[in-house]
Amino acid sequence: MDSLTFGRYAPYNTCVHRLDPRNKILMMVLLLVSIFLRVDTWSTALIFTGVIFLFLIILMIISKVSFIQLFKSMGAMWVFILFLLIIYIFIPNPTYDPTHIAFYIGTYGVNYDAFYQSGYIIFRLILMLMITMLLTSTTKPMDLTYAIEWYLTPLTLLKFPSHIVAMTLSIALRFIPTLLDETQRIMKAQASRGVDFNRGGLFKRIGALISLIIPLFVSAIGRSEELSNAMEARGYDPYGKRSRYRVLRFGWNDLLGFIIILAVFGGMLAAKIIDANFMKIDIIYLIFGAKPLF
Amino acid sequence: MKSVEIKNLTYSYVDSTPVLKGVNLSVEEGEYVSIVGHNGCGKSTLCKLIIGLLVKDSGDIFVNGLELNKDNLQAIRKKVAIVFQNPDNQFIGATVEDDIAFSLENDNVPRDQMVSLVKEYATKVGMENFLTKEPGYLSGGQKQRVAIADSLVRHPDVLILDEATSMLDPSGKEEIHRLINKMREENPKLTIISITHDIEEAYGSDRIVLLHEGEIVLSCLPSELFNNTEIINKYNLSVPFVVELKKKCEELGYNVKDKNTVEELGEMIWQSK
Repeated sequence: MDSLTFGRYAPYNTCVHRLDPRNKILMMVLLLVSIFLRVDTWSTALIFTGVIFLFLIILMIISKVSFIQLFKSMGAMWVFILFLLIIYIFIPNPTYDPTHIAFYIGTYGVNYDAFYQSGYIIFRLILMLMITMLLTSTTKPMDLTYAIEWYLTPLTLLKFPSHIVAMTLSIALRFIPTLLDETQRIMKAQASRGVDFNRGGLFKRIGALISLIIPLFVSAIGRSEELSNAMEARGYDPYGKRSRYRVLRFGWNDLLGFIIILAVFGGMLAAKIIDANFMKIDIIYLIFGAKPLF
Repeated sequence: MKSVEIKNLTYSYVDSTPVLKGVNLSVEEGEYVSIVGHNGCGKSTLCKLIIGLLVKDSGDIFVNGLELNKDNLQAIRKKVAIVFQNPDNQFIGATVEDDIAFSLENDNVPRDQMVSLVKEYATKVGMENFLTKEPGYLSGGQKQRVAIADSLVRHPDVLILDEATSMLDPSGKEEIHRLINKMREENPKLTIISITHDIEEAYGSDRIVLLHEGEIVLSCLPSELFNNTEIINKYNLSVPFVVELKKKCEELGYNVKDKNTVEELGEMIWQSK
């Protein structure tokens, strides 16, 4: 169940936790876009992603997000990193400078640029991981569904049932822990009947898994029927008019947070435009007068 | 005044023999009726029919004089609340407060009223300190207390308990029984229909209805039923502790005529020579 702990909500009461979830989603999108604005000059890219990296580290400290969890999930990425490296090294790219050969594998020259490109992508993936972790560990899943529902409300004009989608999502979230408990209970029950989930060949394991999945589905379907009965008995009508208990508030702190994120986004956008339109400014070259590495 | 009136109700599931074969039952306002019977005798089916979760084959159901049909369905569901057996499967909100608010949201209650009502009813069932807790952190008894709050917050006239205590441990059961007694004291007009396997609980109600193979075979005071050895043996019912104790005392020659609780009998036993 370790994979499920990624970005789990941590109930602290920091200023990031208190932000409006709608605002948090918007800010997350802005940050993600600013990360994936591609800057071609390597040192400009390094400095700007570095600034965002530091910014996120500060945010993580403020909102008490666990660094250990971040490292754990980064550890799970190593297969992906390896895969990226192999792709970038072995697929020839005409934009690589042919003079930047790091070493040869047989007769095939491995380009420095391949390391730069894959490193850049991996770094941005880590930043993306940090941003999503910041969102999910400071926002209750239920608040996220309310925010998603709010973003879907314009679609109600097109007869899209945004309320029903949000209700479905929130019930799914509500039952995850219940069904996890159930899974563990069934696993123990089957283990006591001699099913071995950890050993045996592929087919044996698939057989063991089936003995887990079938009872789990049967019970989940049974639960859903009882749940729908309970909802109906309490007067739930998906197409009726309902009032709302949870109200989302956009306050001053939200505005402030949004302005900060907007500034970061604007900075990245400016860097991108300058980099693409005017000259390939090498910031290190500008500041220190040193010669660019490549 | 009749709170629930059922006339000649029949029902059968699609591919099987009839579950209810002409049930007639009328429950007075403020009455506490227990429905007992063995598994598969149609108790739960009866509840689901009263609240309109199942559609009857024939017969009539009236709640406060209002007939149950398609047009009146929502109106009747406002009058009748039900608490089901499994505490987990009727917890809809993410937290206790959301769950109580769910019923109110359905009734389109304005938000400021909702906030005070949620607090009020959580306090009534003794869950005011758990408002922001998720169901995973609550015991079965606490979850059932929330379920009762969910039902009562809509001001129903009839509360149906469909084996509401059967999945709880003894202390959870005790909690719920005490809560129900308190609710009745606060609102004497509240009608309670309790479906139960717990014979001690049934003994505490105003009337017992014995359902056997889809028919009502007996409807009488609890003391009448449990003193009727013939019926008890015929339907293989268990007997509450106090009745059994009374009988044993009688056999030993004590005068137990007006002793009706375990405490009274205990007093009598230790004072005897």
